[in-house]
Amino acid sequence: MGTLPDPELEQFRDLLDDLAHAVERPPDIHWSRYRAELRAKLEARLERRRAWWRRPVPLALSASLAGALAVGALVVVQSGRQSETGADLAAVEEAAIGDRLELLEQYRVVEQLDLLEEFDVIRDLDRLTVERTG
Amino acid sequence: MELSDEVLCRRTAERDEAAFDALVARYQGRAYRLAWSIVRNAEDARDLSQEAFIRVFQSAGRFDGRSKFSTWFYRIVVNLCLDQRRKHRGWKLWVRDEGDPESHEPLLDRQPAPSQDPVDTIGRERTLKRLWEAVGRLAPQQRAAVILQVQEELPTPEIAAVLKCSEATVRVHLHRALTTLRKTMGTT
Repeated sequence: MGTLPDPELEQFRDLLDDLAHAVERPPDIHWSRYRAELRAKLEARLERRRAWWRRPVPLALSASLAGALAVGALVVVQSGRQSETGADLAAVEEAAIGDRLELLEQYRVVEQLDLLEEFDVIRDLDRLTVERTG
Repeated sequence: MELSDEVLCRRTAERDEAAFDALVARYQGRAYRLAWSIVRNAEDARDLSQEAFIRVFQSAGRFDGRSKFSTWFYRIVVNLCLDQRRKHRGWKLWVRDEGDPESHEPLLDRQPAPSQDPVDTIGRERTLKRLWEAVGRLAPQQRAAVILQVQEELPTPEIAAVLKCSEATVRVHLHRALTTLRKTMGTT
């Protein structure tokens, strides 16, 4: 047995049918003129955009942006060069530190304590070790 | 072989003017009719539909192809029309009754239903005309939902995509719209 149609749904369906049968048409339009207008508007919009970019402010803005980019690129290149030099310096420094750490007996412990950067602390630790054994 | 809308849109994004012209020729009627249905003014409808095509030309590259081109395009047209209506405050339906400032029910909803069947009294043609006039007084989203369903014959998921809301919200818009229309036409 089929279900009876909901009266409200039926009314809505009738309304939609009525609307669909009576769809109003807009006033006629001359399509070639419409397209010509559209083309003109589009050209004007594009031209306005091009003109905007030719104005002094956008020009100055783009020049500033280009300048900032160039400076940025220069900084990156320079920092690359510096880091190379920095790496060389670090190697020399490491050798010097190594020389001064000849008495370091508990290197493993210190390494695990992640205190290598704290040279004074390391030295004190060594002293503590010597004092304890002495 | 006729190229699909989506292919034409992709070519428009590459600044292929012939592809753009083909899209315009294919959609000009629908764009103008849809805009006119919402704004009810031929000049505005012409301007808004042309503006929609300009937006297509400018932002065709942003069409990601996840929806149909027609859905994307309808959304542009509907948004432009609703924006224009908002700017011009043309939706008089939302004017509240001065005697009842607390009432949030649209004015149309509070109109008494005619006591006699209008079909019998004023004739079917006039009834249908009144029906569409009543559509013209619906809230913007309700009106757009009705027009997209009845005139453009879009299914609910597509209407939801055009109006950028859920399908449930579209159904609510349609239900409210039809309830209002039914009251107006005295079919209760």
